[in-house]
This record gives sequence, structure tokens and C-alpha cells, in this order.
Amino acid sequence: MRKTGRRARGLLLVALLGALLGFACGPDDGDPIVVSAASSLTDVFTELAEAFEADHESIVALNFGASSALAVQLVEGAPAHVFASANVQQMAVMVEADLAEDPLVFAQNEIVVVTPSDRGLIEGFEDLSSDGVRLVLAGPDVPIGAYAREAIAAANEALGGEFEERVLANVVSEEANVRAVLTKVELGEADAGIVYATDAAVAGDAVEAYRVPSEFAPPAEYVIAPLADAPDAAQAFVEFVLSEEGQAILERHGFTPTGG
Amino acid sequence: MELRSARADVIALSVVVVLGALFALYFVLPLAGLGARAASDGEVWELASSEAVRSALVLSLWTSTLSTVLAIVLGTPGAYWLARTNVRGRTALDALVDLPIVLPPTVAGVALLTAFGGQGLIGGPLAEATGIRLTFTAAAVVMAQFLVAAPFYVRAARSGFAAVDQQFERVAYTLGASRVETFLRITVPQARGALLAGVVLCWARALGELGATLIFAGSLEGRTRTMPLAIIDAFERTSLGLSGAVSMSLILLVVAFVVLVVFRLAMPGTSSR
Repeated sequence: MRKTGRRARGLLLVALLGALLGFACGPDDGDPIVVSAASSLTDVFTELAEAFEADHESIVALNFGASSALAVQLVEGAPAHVFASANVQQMAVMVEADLAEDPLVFAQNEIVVVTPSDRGLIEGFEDLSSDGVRLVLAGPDVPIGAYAREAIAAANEALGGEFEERVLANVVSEEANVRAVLTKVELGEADAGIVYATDAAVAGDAVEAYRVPSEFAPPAEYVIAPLADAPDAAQAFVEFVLSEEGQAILERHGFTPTGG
Repeated sequence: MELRSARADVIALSVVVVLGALFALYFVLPLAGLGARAASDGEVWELASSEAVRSALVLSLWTSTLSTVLAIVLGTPGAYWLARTNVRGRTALDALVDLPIVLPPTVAGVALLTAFGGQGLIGGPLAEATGIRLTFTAAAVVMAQFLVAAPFYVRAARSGFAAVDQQFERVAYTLGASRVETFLRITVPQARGALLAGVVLCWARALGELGATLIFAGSLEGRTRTMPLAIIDAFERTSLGLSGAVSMSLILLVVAFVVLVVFRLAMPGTSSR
């Protein structure tokens, strides 16, 4: 009696372990396509992946971060099949490391200044040099951080009065990626931040957005490429992003489509 | 029979040795990796002397030291009380003190924002009344470190005080010593080992603080970017590659090691034994 009881318990344990293992492994759909994409693509690539999975056999696994951080991970050997960068420079790092070739521009984005909607301290890019503005930027290698610093430097000649020096003196924090900048502004911790127009749209009513004049900030360019030794499905995903359907999804999220 | 047990001993001993060696190897390999990378990468040494590294190191050292001093000053009375009280709900209180230890530091950072941020419980009224904003300041760095590190000191001190034989304290009272005198001359010396271990743990945890600081204090060179934040920043910069992160990691390791050795030499009895 006791023996069978113990045996039954043993069997139960084995069954449980088996079930757990089965759960952990999930249904066998083959290996996913791993896509490393810029933080600003978080929402739109989530939708793109869903749309892609709907008419393809493959599963897409998304990994978001600052393009610069992703580039370091990939150069250090992180396994991924597609890289979507928010600027050309970080893709160039991939090309130089022989990890990608022939990247394609797939979208553009506008650069904006965001401020908490109840603050009223700032009413445009020019106000960033005002005394006491707590400005948050992304780090200098993060694409949006680089775009922001380029715009500030470009405006220095036009706006004069040591504009660049005064704006940079207002910086209170350098964040890891564009979404971290947005969060600090949304929470009202920062008085202003520089992000993409699409990020400001995600934040909705919490923030007020002011476009950085285009003479200082040309549109940001997003590039995509399959990575070395990627499976064919990775190429298919890149083609999907550039397809009419993919471009329409990008446009719906506020990006300017450039592919197709 | 004897032979068999001797053989069992040999087998047990070799198993123990192999397990111990595997354990040690696992801790040596990452250090060896850092060393190997530094030896083969000339840039590592160049970066080590940069202003960014110097300012991060200075900031890390003074903030972690201040957090530890605050933990001692503010934490000792509570630790002593917890060790001696029989109040109802003590178990819940003990768990509350331990909570920040098991709490992910990112949670601590978010919690700090909700309390002391510009829109927080205290931070909101404070900003309105005085214009003082804590986020993005060195004070925020210390607050983040204090929240996650102080419980390590309090925990150790509590156990230390609890282990002190109260007979000695009673004898001191009967001999006419005041409570303060007794605490300083009887209780503290007897709990010395535990207290010092708590100080070391607290300081080390404060030195390594990353998540709460990033969320509550932000990251700006010279102001809030401590060594762990500077390492993350360097790691995420393609212009530095891994060299910057390796360089700063090595410096932090060496500095922490030297501080711990000096502390142990200066304060004999610092041991968890």
C-alpha cells in the first residue's frame, strides 16, 4: 500500500516535471527570427511582427534598445538575425564588423522637443536655452542623443548668444534610450526632452511636442538589414518591412515611409 | 569493512574537492576575462585615466561612504530596538526591514520617485514650497543607495545585538553604569564583529547600486553618474566598445578590494566568522 503510494507520487512528480518542461519549451514553431530594433520602434515593430507572423510560418522575437547599445551587443556576439537602427552610424558599426551589408532606409521620423503638458516653461526649441530648464537628452552615441546634439550645434550659428553652451548646461541627465527620455518628461521630472515625433505621439496628452525646425534637424533616417548568417526568414521580414503593407503600418504610427 | 569506509571517505573527499574547485573556478574566470581583455587592449589603460572615470570614482566613493554613515547613524537605534523588543508584530517588522534586500533596485527607484519625485507625496509639496527638486541631484544618488543598502547594516546589527549576552548589560547597570555607557562600552564591543560586517556589506551594496540610481537620480557625468552608471554608459557606447566598460570595471574592482583590505586591517575583528 505504502509502496504503491510512493510510486504514484513518483509518477506524479515525473508527469509534473514533464508538463513543466513542455510548457517551458512551448509549441515547436522552429527558431524565432530575432530582431534587434531601436527603442523608438517599440510599438510599430510589435505590430509589424504580428502582421508578419499572420502570413508567415515564422515567429518573430523582438529586442528593443538604443541602437548604439544593440550595436555593442551584436558586435560582442549577441545572437540576432535583423538589425533596425535609428541612424546610419550605428548600422555602419555593423557593416564595419562584417555583420551586415547593403542596409536599406525604411522610414523617417521628425525630431521634437517634449515638455510636460502642465509646465508651460517651454514653447519651442529656442526656449531650451532658458535659465533653469531641466533638460534630459539621450547619451551622445544613442541616435536620438546624436540627432539632438547636432540640432543644438546647428542652431548655435543661427540663434547665437552661446545657444549651444547654455542648452548643454541645462542638461540634468543623459538617458540610455529615447523611451527613458520620454518617461522622465512624462513623469514631470524633467522640464524638457528631445525625442522623435512618434514617441511624443505615444505619450499622448501627457506631453506637449514642438518640432525642432527642419533647418537645424533634418529627419532621422531608419535603416534595416539582415545580419550575417541569418536564415531566409530574416530576409523575408526585412522585405515585409519595406513592402506596401509594412510601410502602411509605419505610416499609421507616424513614421514617414521611404521604402517600397 | 574498514577498507570500505576508507574508500567511501576518499570518494566523498574527491567529490568535495571537485565541487569546491568548480565553485572557485566560476568566480576566477570572469576576473580572468577582465584581466585578459585589459592586457590585450591598450585603450583600456588610456580610458582609465580619463576625466569621466575620475569623476565617477570620486562620486561613487563619497556617496557610498555617506550612505553608510547615514545607515549607521539612523539604523543603529532601530537595530538595537528590534534586537531587544518583544512587541507584537515583530516578525512583520523584521520582514519590513528585510524588504529592500529582496526588492529589485528598480522597484526601489520607482518607489523613490513616487515619494520624492517632482510629483511625489513629499517631493511635490517640497518643490512647490521651496523650489527644491531632489531628482537628478547627488542627494538623490545618496537616497537611492541608502534605501537599498542600509537594510544590510540594520540586519547585521540586529543579529549582532541579539547575540550579546544581556547578563553583562545587567551587571553593568548594577555597577552604576548608565544605559548609554553600557551600550557603548559593553553592547557595541560585544557586537563589534557583526556591526563591522554590516558596515562592509552596506558600503559594498551602496557602491554597486545601479537600478534605483538610474531611475531616481538619472545619469550625468560629474553629478549623478557613479561608477556602475558610468560602466553601463560606456558599455552602451559604440565609440568606446567594451574597452571603456572593462577599464572602469577593473578600476572599481581594485578600489573596492583595496578599501576592504584597508578596512579589515584598520578594524580588526571585521569578519563574518
